[in-house]
Amino acid sequence: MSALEPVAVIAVFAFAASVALVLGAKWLGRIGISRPAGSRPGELGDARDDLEWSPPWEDRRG
Amino acid sequence: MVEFHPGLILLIGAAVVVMVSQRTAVVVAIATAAIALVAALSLGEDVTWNYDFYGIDLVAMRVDALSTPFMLVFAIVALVAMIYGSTTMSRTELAAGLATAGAGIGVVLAGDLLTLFIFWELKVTTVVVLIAARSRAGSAAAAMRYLRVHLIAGVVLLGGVIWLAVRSGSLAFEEVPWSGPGWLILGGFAFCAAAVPFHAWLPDAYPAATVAGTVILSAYTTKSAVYALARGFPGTELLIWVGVTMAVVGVIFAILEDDIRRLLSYHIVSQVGFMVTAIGVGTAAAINGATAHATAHVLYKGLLLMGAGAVLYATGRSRTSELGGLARALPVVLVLYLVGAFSISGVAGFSGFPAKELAVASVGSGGETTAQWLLKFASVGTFASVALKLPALTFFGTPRSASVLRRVPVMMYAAMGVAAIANIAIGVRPGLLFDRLPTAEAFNAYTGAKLAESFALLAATTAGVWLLRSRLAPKATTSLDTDAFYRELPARLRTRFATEAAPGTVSDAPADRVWRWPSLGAWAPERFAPGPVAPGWLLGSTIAAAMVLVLAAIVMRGVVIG
Repeated sequence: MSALEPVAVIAVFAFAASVALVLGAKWLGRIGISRPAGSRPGELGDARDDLEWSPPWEDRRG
Repeated sequence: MVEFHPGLILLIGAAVVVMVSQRTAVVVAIATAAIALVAALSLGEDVTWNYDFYGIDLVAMRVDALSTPFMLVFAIVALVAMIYGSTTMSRTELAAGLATAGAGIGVVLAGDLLTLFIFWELKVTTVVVLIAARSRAGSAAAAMRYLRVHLIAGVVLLGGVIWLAVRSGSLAFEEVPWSGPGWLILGGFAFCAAAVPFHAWLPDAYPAATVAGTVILSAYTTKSAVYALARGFPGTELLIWVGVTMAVVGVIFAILEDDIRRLLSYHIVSQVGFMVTAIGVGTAAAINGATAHATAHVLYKGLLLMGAGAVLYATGRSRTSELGGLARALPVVLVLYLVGAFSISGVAGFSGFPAKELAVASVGSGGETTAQWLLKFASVGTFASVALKLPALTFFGTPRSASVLRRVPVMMYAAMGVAAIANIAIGVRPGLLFDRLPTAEAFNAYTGAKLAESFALLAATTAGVWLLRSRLAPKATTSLDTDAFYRELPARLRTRFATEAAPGTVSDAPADRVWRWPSLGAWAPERFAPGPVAPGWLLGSTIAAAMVLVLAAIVMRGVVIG
């Protein structure tokens, strides 16, 4: 039974930690850490712009 | 066999790459990385290369028990990254990637602080090019923010080096005495290790690079700093709490993140925190743990970012709020990504398990029980976000708006396959990694107790996340971090005091000119004509870096000789 004790402790700890982490992070998001995407200065913008990219040797032949 | 500096091979290759055609550049880049790897493997321990620099005796290469594992993994990742980016990287990016790898190896092989500083600043410059190589206004802005904050960190580091040289009359890079110059040097290293609260440059810069550029960035910048901390500041108690804070703060932000590459970037902060904590403990076992974790981290983080990059490449999306349901379209990417995810989470059989077990156990055996539990807390967050949240929202569930628009190139799969094999090989045979650690310390990760505890942690975390899965529904958000001080505040002040220009024009009002000069278009690229800005910032940053190096050389010569 004693051999299982540390395993049980770590299981309870991990369960509590995962719940605390998710709820805590979400709470931080609600109080202002999370901002709408694209609202900060100098953000990358729409990643779909990358799709306009073509292989370098097709348009930048050296 | 002739012994040659692997970093210099990469730098020479970078110079060649910019002079040949695109197709030849790809071949040269892969061949150079392969030659550098062979050179790294052929170097025996206790090799040193001394050189005379204006009368100062410096050490360009010091191969010993601590630098060897970092050098080897840096050389391996250089080759993997070149293969991964061979179909997507331009010549400029290939050259910058090789130069970043060369500078990273130069840092870990440097035997004195001046050589280290030269490679350190060279790396900053090449990283700026790598970030900006995505050729978008947002990536140029991120590159400029990276350059500004790292120039400040470079000046702090240089100040510490000069002060230490004045005080001790030596530039040898050994354990740094705990004094005034030690504080400055520690600050410079810690900044580049992304220590909280100076960590925000990392999740800002890394996702701004191209899919291959991010893989290169993830390997060299923070891990060079980890090596420098392990060399210069082992056993510095402050680092224990700096590291623990990094580990915890990184996973909290990762839980919040919507962009998959920003999520993984926050996990670099967290995982480097494990290494910094072990360095703070400073025992032989802890330095082994930090080194093992850094080595494994380079391999599995590279694989994770290659997987995320493949998703971005194929779909043009990187937000979980736009992804979903890609398992059927990208099954191989999913499998390879999960190898990286299981590695970082410490699942038995993958590289992160023995490495993280050693790092965390060494913190506990060093008497830091509280720090050990906080690292386990961070491990829970790592598994929750990298192995559960990210794949669930990206590859499973209902497809949101993304679909596969391009096939993932074979070379991307090949690079990810090599990295996956390396991670599994180390996981199955930890001796591949442990036999190359700084000191010979017996450690067996595969005991019944450790396996049971690892399984319990992963299973209980899965249960907790399943219970709260509705709270992890994706939202199109980004997180406010400490970069607000140099990102949001100046922009707000500029908005408050500057004069608005007509659309499509550049305001010439005095207040605008004041803001424009330091920002060089980073905050308002639309205000700048494309001609003078694009060449201006790149040339300017190169000249600035060169001036810093020349100044450092003049001061060092005066200090050490005169």
